[in-house]
Amino acid sequence: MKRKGVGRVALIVLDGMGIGEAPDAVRFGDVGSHTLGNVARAVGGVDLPHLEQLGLGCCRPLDGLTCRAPNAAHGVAVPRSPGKDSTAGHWELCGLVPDRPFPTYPQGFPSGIIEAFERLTGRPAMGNRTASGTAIIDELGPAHLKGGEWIVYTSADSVFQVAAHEDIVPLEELYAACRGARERVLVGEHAVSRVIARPFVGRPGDFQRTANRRDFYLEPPGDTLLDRLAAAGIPRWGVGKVDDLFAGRHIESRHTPTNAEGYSLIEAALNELDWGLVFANVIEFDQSWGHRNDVAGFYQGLRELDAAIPALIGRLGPDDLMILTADHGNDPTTASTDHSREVVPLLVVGPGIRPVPLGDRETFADVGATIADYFAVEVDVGTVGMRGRHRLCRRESRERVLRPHDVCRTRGVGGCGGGREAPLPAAGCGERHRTRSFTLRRMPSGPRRVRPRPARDGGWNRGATRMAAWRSAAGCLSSRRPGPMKGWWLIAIVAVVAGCQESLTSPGACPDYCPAARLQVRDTVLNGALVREEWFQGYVRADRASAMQVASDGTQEQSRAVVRFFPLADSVSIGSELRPITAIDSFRLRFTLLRRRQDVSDLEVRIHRIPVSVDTSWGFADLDPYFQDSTLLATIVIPDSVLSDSLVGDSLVTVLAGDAFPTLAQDSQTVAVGLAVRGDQAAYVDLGSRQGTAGQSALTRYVQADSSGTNVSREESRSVDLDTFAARAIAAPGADAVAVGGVPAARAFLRLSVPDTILQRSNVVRATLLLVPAEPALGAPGDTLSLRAFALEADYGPKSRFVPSPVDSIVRGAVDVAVGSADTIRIDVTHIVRPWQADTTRPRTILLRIVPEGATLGEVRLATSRSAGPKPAIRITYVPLFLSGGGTP
Amino acid sequence: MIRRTGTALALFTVAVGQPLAAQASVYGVLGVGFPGRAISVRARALGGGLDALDPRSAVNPAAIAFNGRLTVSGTTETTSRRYVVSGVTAEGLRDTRFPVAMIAGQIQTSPISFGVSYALYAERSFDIQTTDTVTLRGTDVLVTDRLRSDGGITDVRFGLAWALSERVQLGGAFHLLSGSTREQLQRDFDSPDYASVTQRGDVDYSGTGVSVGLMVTPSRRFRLGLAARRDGRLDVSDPLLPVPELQLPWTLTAGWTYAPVRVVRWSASASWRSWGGADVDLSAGLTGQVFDTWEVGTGIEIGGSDLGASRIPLRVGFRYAQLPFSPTTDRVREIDFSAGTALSFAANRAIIDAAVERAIRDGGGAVERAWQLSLGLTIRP
Repeated sequence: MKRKGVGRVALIVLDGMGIGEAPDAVRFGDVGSHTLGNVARAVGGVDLPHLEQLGLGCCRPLDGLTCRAPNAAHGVAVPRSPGKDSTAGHWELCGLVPDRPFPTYPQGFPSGIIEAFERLTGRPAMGNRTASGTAIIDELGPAHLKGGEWIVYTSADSVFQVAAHEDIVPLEELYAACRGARERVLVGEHAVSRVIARPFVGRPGDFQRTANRRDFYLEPPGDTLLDRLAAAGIPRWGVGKVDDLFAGRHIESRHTPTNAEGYSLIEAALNELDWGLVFANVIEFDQSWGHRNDVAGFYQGLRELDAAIPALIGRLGPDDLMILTADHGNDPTTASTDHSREVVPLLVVGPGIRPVPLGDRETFADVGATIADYFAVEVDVGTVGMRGRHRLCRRESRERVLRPHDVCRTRGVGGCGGGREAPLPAAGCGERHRTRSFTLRRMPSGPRRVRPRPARDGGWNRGATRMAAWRSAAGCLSSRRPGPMKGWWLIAIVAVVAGCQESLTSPGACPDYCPAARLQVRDTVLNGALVREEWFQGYVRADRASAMQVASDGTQEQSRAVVRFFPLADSVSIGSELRPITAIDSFRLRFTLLRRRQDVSDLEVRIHRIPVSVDTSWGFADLDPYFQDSTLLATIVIPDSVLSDSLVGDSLVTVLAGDAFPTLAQDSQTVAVGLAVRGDQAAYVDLGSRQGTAGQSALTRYVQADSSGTNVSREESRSVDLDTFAARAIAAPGADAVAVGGVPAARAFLRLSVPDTILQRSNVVRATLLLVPAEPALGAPGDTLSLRAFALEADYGPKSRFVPSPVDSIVRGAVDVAVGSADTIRIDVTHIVRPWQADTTRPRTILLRIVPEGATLGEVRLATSRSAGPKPAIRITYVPLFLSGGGTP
Repeated sequence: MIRRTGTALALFTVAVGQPLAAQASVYGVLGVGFPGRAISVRARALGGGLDALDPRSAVNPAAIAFNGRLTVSGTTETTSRRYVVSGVTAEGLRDTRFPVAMIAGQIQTSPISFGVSYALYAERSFDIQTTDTVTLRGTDVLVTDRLRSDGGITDVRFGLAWALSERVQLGGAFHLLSGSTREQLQRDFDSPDYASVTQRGDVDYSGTGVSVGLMVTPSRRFRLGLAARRDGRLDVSDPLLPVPELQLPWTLTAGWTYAPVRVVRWSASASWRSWGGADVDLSAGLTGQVFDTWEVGTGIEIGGSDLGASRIPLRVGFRYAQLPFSPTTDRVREIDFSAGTALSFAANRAIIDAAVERAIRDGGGAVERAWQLSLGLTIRP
C-alpha cells in the first residue's frame, strides 16, 4: 500500500469566478464572458496584491495585475462537463463528469411537472417561466399574498425555484414541498440540478428575499472524490454549500451566507483538522454579485478575498496544500445574470509547491485527481507525470520536465535551486527521507468518473513506470545501480553540471577591453507623422459614469446633478402586520464625495427638491426652474479639512425635516433631489454614482407607525434609481480640432505614419505625442483632467476596442491637463509604439480618452494635422539596429 | 564493427552538440578572440608538451595513425578566474566550455587511419557591463550597457594518416573554419521614461586551412613529431569586429617525447604562429597590436596504463605562451602550471582524464589568473 498524505488539502471553490470564455463558450452563448477580466477592466484595474503574488495575473492577463514571480503554481482549467452550473462544476472538480447536461426549461416547465407539483403540495402554482428572482416576486408577490400560490420560476440554469412569503407559507412547508419535488417530481429526464426554496418577506414594492434559501440538489450519479476519500477513511470538512452540491453524500458542511464568514470557517477548519480535505464553496461571487450584475460588489468581494489570503496561507503546515479555483463563470458585466461558460483559475499553493505554470488543464477533474494523488487514493484517472522521489537541481531540467504537464511537490525546492523562490520556507535538499511528491494529475479523455481501482500492484509499478518515463524525457541519470564506472560517470557529469553554472558578467574595462562599437541613441520629432485624426462622442453618458460632477465657474452653475431614489413604502411592517405610517420624522440624505476643488474655502453644495419625473433626457436648462431658492432643501458646507481626492470617498450627509417632500404621496413615495455648487463659487465637486465603486447616494426615512396604540419608530433606506448630471451646453469644437472627454464622453483617434527606418530598423526607447491644444482645456475651474492614450486591438473606427495599458515601469500614456491650460500636451506612448515594431499588422492608431469617462465636464480640444497653426507631432527616441538579428522591443 | 562505429558517431555527435558558451579570458574580447587549444586533457596536464604527438589532440594529423582502434573522445573545461584591468577587478567569473571532440580510427586493416575532430580555434565569448551617461532630450540619463557574445570560431578537421611503418607516420588534414557567435546588446536606462533595448545578432565566420604532419619513432624510448598548418583568410560578418576578412596564420609545431625509464615519459613541444600577418587586416578596424606568437610546453607523465604500469598516472607540466592580440604595444604572456591524472576501465576501452591548470596572464594593461579544470572522456567501443 502506498503511504497516504499526512497533511491537509484545502480546496476552495470561488463560486462563479471564471477567468475567460471556455473554448466551447459559443455553444452556451457566452462568447466574450470573462468574469475576472471584465470586472478588472470595469473598475479600471484591480488592486489585489496577495492574489497577484500568488499568480492570479499569470492565469490570464487581468487589468491591474502583473505576472511576476508568483508564489503558487498557476494555470486555468477548462470545463468538460456539458453544463455550466455549480453542481456540474463541483462534480467535475471531484472527478465526475456527467455525460449529458442537466435539463433546462427556458420556456417554463411542462404542464405535467407543474400539475404533479401542485398535486404533491396541495397548492396551486403560478409563474412558471424564466425570470429574475427579485423581479418575479415583485410582480407576483401581491397575488401570492392574497392566494397563497407557489411562485415557480426557473433561469437559464437547471433549476426549479419555488418562492413563497414566509408569512403566508411556513418555511417547513416550503422546504417539504421542495424536497418532495426533488424526490418525486423532478426525476428522470426532468432531473434538474437543483430545486431551490426561495422564501421572502416584506410588502408589495418592498419584498426582500431572506437568508433561509435552501437548495435541494441532485445526488451524484457516480463515485466522486469524496466517496473515495470516505472509503479510505480520510476526513472531509465542508464549508458552504458543498454538502448540498453532493446531496450530503460523504460530506457535511457548515453553511455561511457571506464570503467573510466562509474564510473564517476555512481558517477554523485548518486550525482544527489534522488530516484530511477542507472543501469550501465561497458563495457570494456568484449569488450576491454575479447574478445581480453588481460589479462594484464583485470587486469588493475580490478585495475581501485578497485580504483573507495571508491568513489562509498562514495556516498551512509544511505538508499542506491549498487550491483556489472556481466552478464556472458569472460575469457581472454582461447583460446576462446567469452563469457563463468560462475557464476557471487554478492556483495551487503550499510550502512545498513550486510556482510553476500549469497551463490550461483539459478538465476540472485534474484538481480532484491531484487531491486523490495527495491522499494516495486509488482512482482510475490515468495519471500523466512523475512520482516518487526525485530532486531537480537544475533550472533547465525543471522546466523541461515540468513543462508538459505537472506540478511537482517536493520539499526543499528552494534549496535545490529549482528556480523561482519557494512560497514559504522550505527544508533543505538533505531532507530526502521526508520528501514526498505528488502530481497535478491529468484526466484522460476516456474516463469520465472516479472509480475504485483494483489494487493489483498497489501502484508501485505504475509509479516506477512514470519515473522511468520522466528520467528518459529529462535525459537524466540511469536508475540502475551505479557500478564503479558509473561512479566516474556521475563525477564527470556532476562536474559538467557544476561548471555549467556560469557567471560571466564582468565590468567592462573600456576602451582597451571593450569592443569599439557602441549603441547610438537618436532623437527626432516627426512633424508629419499624424496623418488623420477623428473624434466621436457618446461613449459614456452622464448617467452611466462612475461619478457626477457639479460645478460652477464663479458666476453661474456649470453642471447640476440629479438623484432619484427607489420608492419608499407607504406602510411599515411591524411583526407580521403592515401598519400605516402616522408621521414622518425626518429624511437623511447621504452622498459620497470623491473629489473637490481644494483651494476654495467653505465650499457649499446646495440640495434642491426636483420633480420625480426627471430622467436622463433632461438638459441643464430643463432643470433651471427647480434650482431656485424656493426649492432649496438644504446646504451642505464641506469642511475645508475634507480634501477628498480618492476613490474611497467621504460622506456628505444632511438631514431634512419630515415635511421636506410634501408631495411624497402624489409622487408614489418617490424622492428626487438636485445638487449644485453655489453659483458664486468657482469650484467643483465630484460625487459617487451608482455606476462607480466608491459608494452611491442613499436615502433614509425615519417614520412612526401605530402599533396597537403605541407609536413605534422605524427607518427605511433606499438606494438610487437614477443619478446623472447635466452640463451647460458649450460650443462644439472647430472643424479642424478633435475633442476628448466631456459629457457624454468623446474619444479621439489619431492615426500615425512612422517611417520604416524607425519602426523596422531601430528600437524605440521612448515615444511622446506632442499635442497642441486648439483652445484652453475646458472644464470646472481648478479641475485637472487625466488624459490617457491607448492602443487599439483593431481599428474599426469609433467602435474600436482599445488595449488596456500595461502595468509596468514604462510610462503608461497618461498625463494630467489642468483646466484652462493651453500648453503643449506631452503624453508618452512608448508602450503603444514599441509593439508596432514587433507586429506590423497592429493598427497604428492611438486612442485618447479622459479617465474616468463621462464623469467630468473636462474636455480637451486638440489641433489636428488639418489645422492652420501648430500641428501635432510625435517625438521618438530610438536606437538604430546594430546587430543583424534585430532588436526585441 | 558497424555497431561500434554507430555508437562512436553518436557519442561524437553528442560531444560536438554541446554549446560553445565560454569566456576563457579577458583577452577574448581582443582581435578574433582568445586562441583555442585543440588538445586533449592529457596534453593539457603535460603543459602542452605532448601537443605534436598526441593522437587525441588535433594538432598533428600524423598522430591520427596511433588511433589503432575506433576512438571517440571529448573534453570539458571549467574555468574560474579573476582579472585586474586599469584598476577594475573582476572576480568569481566561471564558465564551462567543450573545447575538443574527436572520432578517429583505422580504416579496415589498412595502414590508413581517419580522424574527424572539432575544436575551438578562437573563443569570442564575453559578457561585459558598462555604465555611462548620455544626454537625451536635454537631460543626462545614466545608462547601463551589457554586451554579451557567446560562441567563437570552430575548427573542424578532416584528417588522414598513413603509417608507413611502425617508425614513420605521415598525415594530412583539411580544416573547415566556421562557427557563429550569438551577440546581444542590452541597454537599460536609469529613468522610467525610457524603455530598455535589447538587440541580438548571429555572427558567422568561414575559412579553410590545411595541415600536414610527420611522426618519427627512431627508438623505443624517443618519438618526434612535426606539424605545419596553413590557414587561409577568414570571412567575418561581425558588427563588433569591423573587418570583412582576416588573414589567419601559419602554425609550425615540433615536439618530442622521451621515456628514460619504462614508467616515465618526458614530453616537450614548441609552436610558432604568424599572427602578425593579420595586422594589416585588423589595423583597419581595431586599435591595438598583433604579434607573432611562440608557445613552448613541457611535461612529465609517470605511470599510466598506456605505459603498461599502474591504472592511475601522474602528470605535471609547465607552459609558456604568447598571445597574439594586445590593446597596447605590450605583448601579452601566459604561464601555466598543470597537473593531472587518468583512470581507465575495461582494458582501456574507456578513459577518464582530468587536469587542473593554474594560468597566469599579464600584459596589455591587464593581469589575469585562472584555475582551469578539464575532464576528458575517451571511449573505444
